Amino acid sequence: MTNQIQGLSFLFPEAILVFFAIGCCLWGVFTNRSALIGTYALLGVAMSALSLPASFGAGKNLFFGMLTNDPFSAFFRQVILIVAGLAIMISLDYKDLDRADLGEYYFFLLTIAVSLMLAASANNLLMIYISLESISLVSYIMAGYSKRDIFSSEAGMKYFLFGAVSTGMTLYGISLIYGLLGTLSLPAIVGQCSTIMSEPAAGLALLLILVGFGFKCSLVPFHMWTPDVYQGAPTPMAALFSVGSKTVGFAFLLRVFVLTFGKNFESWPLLASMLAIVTMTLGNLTALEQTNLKRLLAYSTIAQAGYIFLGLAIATPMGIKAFLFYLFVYALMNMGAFGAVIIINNSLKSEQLEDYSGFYRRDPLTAVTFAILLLSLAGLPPLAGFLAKFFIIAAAVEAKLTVLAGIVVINSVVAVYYYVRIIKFMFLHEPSGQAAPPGPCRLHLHLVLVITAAANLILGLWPHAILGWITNLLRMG
Amino acid sequence: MFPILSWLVFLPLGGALVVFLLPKKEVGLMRGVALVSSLAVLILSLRLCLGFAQGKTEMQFVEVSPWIPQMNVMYFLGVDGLSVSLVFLTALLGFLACAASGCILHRQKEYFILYQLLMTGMMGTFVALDFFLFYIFWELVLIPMYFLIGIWGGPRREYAAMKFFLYTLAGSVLMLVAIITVYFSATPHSFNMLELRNVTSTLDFPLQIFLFLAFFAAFAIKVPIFPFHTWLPDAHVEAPTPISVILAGVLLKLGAYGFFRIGFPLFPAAAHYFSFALAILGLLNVLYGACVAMAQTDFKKMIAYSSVSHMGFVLLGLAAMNATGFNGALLEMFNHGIITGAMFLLVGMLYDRAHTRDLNQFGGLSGPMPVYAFYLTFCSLASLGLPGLNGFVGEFLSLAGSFASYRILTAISALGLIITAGYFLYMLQRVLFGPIATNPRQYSDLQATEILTLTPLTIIMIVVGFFPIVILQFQETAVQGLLKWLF
Repeated sequence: MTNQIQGLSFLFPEAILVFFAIGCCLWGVFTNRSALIGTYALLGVAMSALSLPASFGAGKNLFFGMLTNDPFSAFFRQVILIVAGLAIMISLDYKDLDRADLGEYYFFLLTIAVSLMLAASANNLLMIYISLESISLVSYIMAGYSKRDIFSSEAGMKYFLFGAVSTGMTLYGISLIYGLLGTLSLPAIVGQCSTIMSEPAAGLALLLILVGFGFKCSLVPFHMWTPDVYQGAPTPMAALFSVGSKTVGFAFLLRVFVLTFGKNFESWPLLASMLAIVTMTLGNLTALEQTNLKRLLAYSTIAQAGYIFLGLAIATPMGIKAFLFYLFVYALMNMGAFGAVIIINNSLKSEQLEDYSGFYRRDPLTAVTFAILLLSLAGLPPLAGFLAKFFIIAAAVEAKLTVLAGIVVINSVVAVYYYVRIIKFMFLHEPSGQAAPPGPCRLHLHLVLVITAAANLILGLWPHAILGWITNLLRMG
Repeated sequence: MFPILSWLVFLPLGGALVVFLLPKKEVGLMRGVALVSSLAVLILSLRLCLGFAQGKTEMQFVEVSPWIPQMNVMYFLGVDGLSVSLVFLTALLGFLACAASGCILHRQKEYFILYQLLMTGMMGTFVALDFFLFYIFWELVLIPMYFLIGIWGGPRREYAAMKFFLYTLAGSVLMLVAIITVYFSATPHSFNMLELRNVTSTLDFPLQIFLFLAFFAAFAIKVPIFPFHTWLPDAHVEAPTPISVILAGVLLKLGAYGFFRIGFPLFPAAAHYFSFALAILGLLNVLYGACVAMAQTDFKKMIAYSSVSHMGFVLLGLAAMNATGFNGALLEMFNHGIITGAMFLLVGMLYDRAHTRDLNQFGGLSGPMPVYAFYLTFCSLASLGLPGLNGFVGEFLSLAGSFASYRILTAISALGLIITAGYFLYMLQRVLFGPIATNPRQYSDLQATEILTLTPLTIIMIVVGFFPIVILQFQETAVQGLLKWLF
C-alpha cells in the first residue's frame, strides 16, 4: 500500500497536466481567446516540468509494476515535456486552427502529453498497450482536427485505419506472449523468456508487437500513413506526431526488444538493422522527389527514424547512448523545422517548395534559423545533427559493423540533396511574383526557431551537458 | 603565450560577426571590416613565418586543451613545415581575393559574412591536429562555398554549387568512417593525428589499405584527381572571381595537404603499395588536364583544366616517395596557388570589361591594354614553367623526384609541359595579338587597385623562381622527418 502512495508522487507531473487539461476544456466553454488558453496550457507544461525532478525520487516499481521509474523513463519524460512545450508554442501562432474550439485543442494536446509520459514509464505489456491506444485515440482526433479541411479529414481517417490495424496486431502479439508465459510484466518476462524463444509462436508474437511500435515510429514498411497524415494534420500536430509519438515508439522498442528480450532474441540485430537500413534509404530516396514541404519533412522524419533505430539495432552501450542522443537532438531539430513550416505557411499560404523562392528576402530570421535546422537534420558539422550521426556511425564502427556505417554516410549524402534544395529555394532564388510584405512578427514561433537553432549550434560544439546526462543515465540503468 | 593560431583561425569569424551587426546599407564599411580582418590575418601569418623555427620537425605554436572529454576530443592546433607555407598562402590569397571582391554588386553583407566563414574553415583545416576538429573545419568550408557559388555565381551557379557540395561531401563522409575506425583502433581512443600514426602503421595491411582508400576518396575529390575532377570545371567557371581564386588557390591544396598530413604518415604501408597507382593518376591528370585545356574556348574553363594538369605534378612528386619529389610537390602546391590565383584575377578583370570569356571573341588586346598584356603574359609564362619563374622550380623538382622512381612514366608526363606551353601561348595569341577586337573602347587598361592586387603575386613568382629556398627552407626538415617515418 505504501508503494502505491509513493507512486502518486511519481505521477505528480502527469497529474498537473491533467489538471491543466481539464482547465483548458472548461475555459474553452467560456472564452476562445487563443493566446490566453495556450499560455495557460504552456504554464501547465512548465509547472509539470518543474515538478518532474522531484518525481524521480519515488520507488522503482510502481503501481504493481505497471510503471517503472528507471533512468530511461526519466529521460523520455523530460524529452516529452520539452516537445509538448514547443508544440504549444508553435500552436499559439498557428492561424489555421478553428477559433471556436481552442479549449478542446489544448485539452487534447495536453492529454496526448499525459499519455506519452505514461507510456514512457510503462513496464507492463498491458500498460504499454493501453498507453499506446490512448495516444492513438487522441492522435486520430487531432489529425482530423481541421474539420473543414478535406486533407485533414483524410489524414484522420487514414491514421485511424492504419493505426487500428497495427495496434490490433500488437495486441494479438501481446496475447500470444501471455499465452506462452502467463505474465505481461516486463521484469518477469526477462527472467523467463529464454525458455520460450525456441517456440515459433514467440517469434510471431514479437513480430506482431513490432508492427504496432514500428507504426508509431513510422519505420518502413509501416510508414505508409506518415506523409498523408503529416500533410493533412494541423502542422503543430504533425510536429507532435513526428517527435512525441516517435519518442514513445522508440521507448517501447527499447524497453521490449532491447531491455527485455535483448540477448534472447537472437535475430534482433539483423532484423532491426535491415529495417533501419530500409527505412532510412526509402525515406531519403522518396524525399528527393517531393515538392510539398510537409510531405518532404514527413519522408525526412522516416529517414531520421531509420538512423535512430540503427542505434537500437546495434544495442551496445555506445549504440544506446547514440540512440538517446539522437532522439534528443532530433526532437529539437524537427520541432524547429515544423515551426518554420508554420511561419512560412502563415505568410505564403503555400507548402509548395517553389513558392519558397526568395523567402530569405521576406523573413531573414526564419530563413536563417530554418537553414541551420535543415543543415543539422542533414548532419553537417558543426551542428548537433552531425554529432548525433557521428555517434551512430561510431557505434556501428565500434561494433565492427562498418558496412552499416557506410550505408549511413551514403544515405546522409543523399539526404543533403533535398535538405539543401529547400535552402536553395529560400536563399538562391529571387522572390517570384509580387513580394508580399513580411508577415507580422510571430513572437512564439520565432522564439521556438531561435531556441531550437541555437540549441543545435551549441549542442554541436558543446554537447558536454547532454552527453554527461545520458552517460549518467546509462550508468544507473 | 600569444595563441597566434587561434587568432588566425577565428579572427575572420570575428570579422563575420562584426559584418553581421552592421546595417545592410553600409557596404563600404563591410568591405573595410573584411579587408582589415584579412589584412590582420595576413600580418599574423607573416609573423608566424618569421617566428617559425625551421630546423625543428616537431609541431610549433602548439595549442592544446581538452574540448569534449567524454570522447577524448582535443582542441589541438599546430603548424609544421608541411602547413606553414600553406597558412601563408591562405592568408595572402584570402586578403587579395577580399580586395578583389569589388565585383560583388548585390547582397554584399551576406557575401562578406560567408567569405570570412570560409576563411575560418580553410585556415582551421590547415592547422587542426585533432581529427574531430579537422573534420569540422574540413566540412565547414562546404557550407559557405555552396552559398558563395550559388548566390554570386554565373548562369549555371545552382547546378555547379550543388554538384560541388555533393561531390566533396560524398568523399568526406567516407573519410569520417575512416576517422572513426582509426579512433577506435587506438587504446585509449584518440583523435590525435600525430600520435595515431604509431597505432595505424601497425594495423593489418588490408585494414590499412581500406582506411587509406577511404581517406583517398576525400582527398582525391578535393585535389581533384582524374576521374573525380568533374565538379571542378563547373565550380570554377560559375564561381565569382574572388571565389575562383580561393577555390583554385587554397581549396585544391586541402586535398594534397591531406595526403601529406594524414594519408602517407598514418598508412605508410598503403602509401608504398599505392605509390605507383598515384603516379599513374598523376600522369593522367597532367596529360588529360592539359589536353582538355587546349580544347577550351572559355577562358576560365581553360584555367580550371590547367589546374587539373598542374595538380598532376603535385601527385607525381607525392608518388615519388623521395625528398626531391616531396619538396617539389609541396612547392608546386604553393606555386600553383600563387599563379592560378593571379590567373583567375586576370580572367575576372577581363570579364568585368568584356562580359564574355569566349577566347575567340578577344584579339589584339595588347594594343588598348598594355599593362594587362604584361601581367597576363607574365603569369602565363610562370604557369607554363618558364625557368626563372616559380612554376618551373616546382614542376622541375616534382619531375626530378619522380624520375628517380618511375622513369618512363615521368618521361611521358613531361610531355604535359609542352602541351601546357602550347595552350597558354595559343591563349595569349587569341587574347592579346591578332586583329583587334570588335569594340576596343570598352577595353580600358588596368586600374591602380587591380595592379596592386596582382603585383604582390608577380613579385612572389620572381622571388621564388630565383630563390626557391625561401619556401623550401620551411618544408625541408618536415619532408625529411616524413621520409624517415615512411622508410
